[in-house]
Amino acid sequence: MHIRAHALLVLALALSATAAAAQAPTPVNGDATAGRRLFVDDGCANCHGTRGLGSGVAPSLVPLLPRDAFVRQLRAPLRAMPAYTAAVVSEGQVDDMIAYLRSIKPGKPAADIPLLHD
Amino acid sequence: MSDKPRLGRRRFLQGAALGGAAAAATPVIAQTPDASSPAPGVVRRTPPTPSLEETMRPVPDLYTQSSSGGDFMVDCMRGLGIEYVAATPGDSFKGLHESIINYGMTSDPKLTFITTMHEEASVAMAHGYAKIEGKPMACMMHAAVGLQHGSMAIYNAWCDRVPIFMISGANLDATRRGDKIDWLHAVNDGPGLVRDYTKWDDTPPSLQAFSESAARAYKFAMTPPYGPVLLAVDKPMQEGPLPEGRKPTVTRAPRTLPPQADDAGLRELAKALVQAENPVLVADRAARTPKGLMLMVELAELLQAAVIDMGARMNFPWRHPLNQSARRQAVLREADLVLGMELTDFYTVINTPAGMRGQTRRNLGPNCKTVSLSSIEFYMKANYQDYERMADVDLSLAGDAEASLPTLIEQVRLLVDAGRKSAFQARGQKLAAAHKAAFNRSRQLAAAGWDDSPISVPRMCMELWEQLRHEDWTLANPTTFQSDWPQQLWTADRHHNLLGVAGGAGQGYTAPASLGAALANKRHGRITVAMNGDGDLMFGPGILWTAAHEKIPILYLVHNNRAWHQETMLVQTVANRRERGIDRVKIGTAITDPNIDYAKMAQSMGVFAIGPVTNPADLGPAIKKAMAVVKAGEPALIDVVSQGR
Repeated sequence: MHIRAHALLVLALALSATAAAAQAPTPVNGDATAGRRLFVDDGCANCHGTRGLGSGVAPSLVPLLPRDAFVRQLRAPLRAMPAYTAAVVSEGQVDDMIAYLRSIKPGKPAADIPLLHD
Repeated sequence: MSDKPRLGRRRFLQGAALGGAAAAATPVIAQTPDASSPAPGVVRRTPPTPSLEETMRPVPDLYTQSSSGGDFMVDCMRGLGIEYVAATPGDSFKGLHESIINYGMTSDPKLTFITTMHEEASVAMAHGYAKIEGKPMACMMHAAVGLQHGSMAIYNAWCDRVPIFMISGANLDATRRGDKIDWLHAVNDGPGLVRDYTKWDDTPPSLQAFSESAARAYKFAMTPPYGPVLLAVDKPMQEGPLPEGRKPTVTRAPRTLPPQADDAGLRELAKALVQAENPVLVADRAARTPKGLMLMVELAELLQAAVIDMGARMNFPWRHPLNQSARRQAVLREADLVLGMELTDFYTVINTPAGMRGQTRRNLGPNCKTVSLSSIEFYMKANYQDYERMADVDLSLAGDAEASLPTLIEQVRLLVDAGRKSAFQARGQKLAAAHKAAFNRSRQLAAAGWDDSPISVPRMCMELWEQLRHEDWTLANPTTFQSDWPQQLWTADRHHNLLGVAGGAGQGYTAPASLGAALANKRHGRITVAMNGDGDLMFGPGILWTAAHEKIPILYLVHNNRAWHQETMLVQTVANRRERGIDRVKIGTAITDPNIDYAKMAQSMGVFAIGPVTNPADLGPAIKKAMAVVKAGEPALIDVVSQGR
């Protein structure tokens, strides 16, 4: 259950970073197809789900952090997430992943899902 | 009929005839064994070569018997209230095996043989059974290699503090060992293999000693902290007749009462709880029985205290307003008193590991007091480190938590006055609001990836819940690998709703333990379900045959994330640290190429099965179909291709 608390903390940070930015996302020049392959093959999907929509061990990445905050979390993550240095994920590959994650539409809210209501 | 051996008359006459014919036909025969020339006039005679028929003819069993040591052992087990024995057959307990099937199963009260495909399954079935039924069932393991097979499951039961009555065959007399297998499977001190993680063991030398040891073993198993116990039983004792003269008597096990903590200590604890502004009750195996769950609710409601359920058992209702398990860190940070009840690991309640070099971070405030109430203080062994890291606790009370709760509640009740009651009510209202907020947050998070394929784990859990919610059910799997989504979203308030953890986290536990729980649940008319990891299932898929063969109703949902997912993440962490090859971490962790077809595998063993299910929209109808099979008394399996966690 402590893993879920970590997920909430990272989500809170993500939301506050997004609110603080409060502007259109920084354009990136990445390849979403290559980004999807990286996201799945490099293990991000193991924790964040194959579409970055989260799981019990890691938060949803949609809507996405601004690029700077995303890279900070990637290179020097909080708590349980392993670090992805530039030797592992280059700056160009970061752009590919961001392009992929930005292409994902958020799922429907809980209010629209009957099974999530008593 | 006499139990004395009788020589076959035909063989006696045969031997006499051979001797007579030889004497008539030959001259003086040299008896020297070497190749040197015999004396003149003396002819060397070599023994006749046996015919093919003679070499193939089995040596006839020369005995019949009208009484049996094995039958007496069955009576001893019945006397202890044991109803089932799970086993994969083995030569070293064939005497007891025959007694069970031809005596135990054909007379009352029945002792029934449950056939498994692996000794690990036998022990794990007994593990799951005991957690539902509140008493042990038995399992048998062949000497040496059988016990070796079962050893991991015994370790799980030891760590999980569960009573299991185990028997292993033995072949102690070297002069009675027939062939090389008898020697390969003979060991002087068989129980020594598992002595570090069994509560007690014995190798009784006689039937009367077996009777007394069985009762003693049962008593130890059922005195908290519960644990597995083992008797090694020599083959001749099982297989032979009852001894002449004094007939052995069945020894009964006494009624046992669990140890309660010291009265003065409980009074001190009660005072501290009443005076605390933010007490937190942390329970792991506190609710040993359904009564324990009721007592936990009574104490928490009396104090209006936050409760964190660590999940080794069903300790507290999941939707109770005081249940703060989903916001554990926040609650611990605010606590001024933490009471840990039958905790596996108090250290990581107080501290969180922070890094790979042994650093930790304290979860509690600097002035928070800690009290431990646990029966484990009475009994621990040193070799295996399941006792976890030494926690910095202010007061340690040795006593069974459930047995101590009535006295603790009574003392708390005496101390609560109008002023404290008012403070408690205010605290309770805040906790209830926090619980509701956490529940709503969980629902929001569960929506993420709702329509994804592979199927999201919250989706899998909620589709299952939709079919379970109006039934009397048990969720038999540990829920860590499903990120505890059931605890976050389902409603559960009965002790049997959650079976709990494996104990030693040994993989291969879930499927057989769930089946053992289902065996116990059969008489209560309950539905047993298990979300079973794919890697975990593959340690012992033969349990599916047992489910079909023994007609035990259970629903398995294979949580098929096509990997040993935990290990995938662990290896990935190392690869990241070494800045290399993170795209290769699937080597040695993925279960793909080919993908296993769990439905076909289950069908091959007689289990109704659907799958692989990859479209989340298909999952609800599949579960409904499978549930109908389970309600009709048969096992069913659905292969759910799902996300990692």
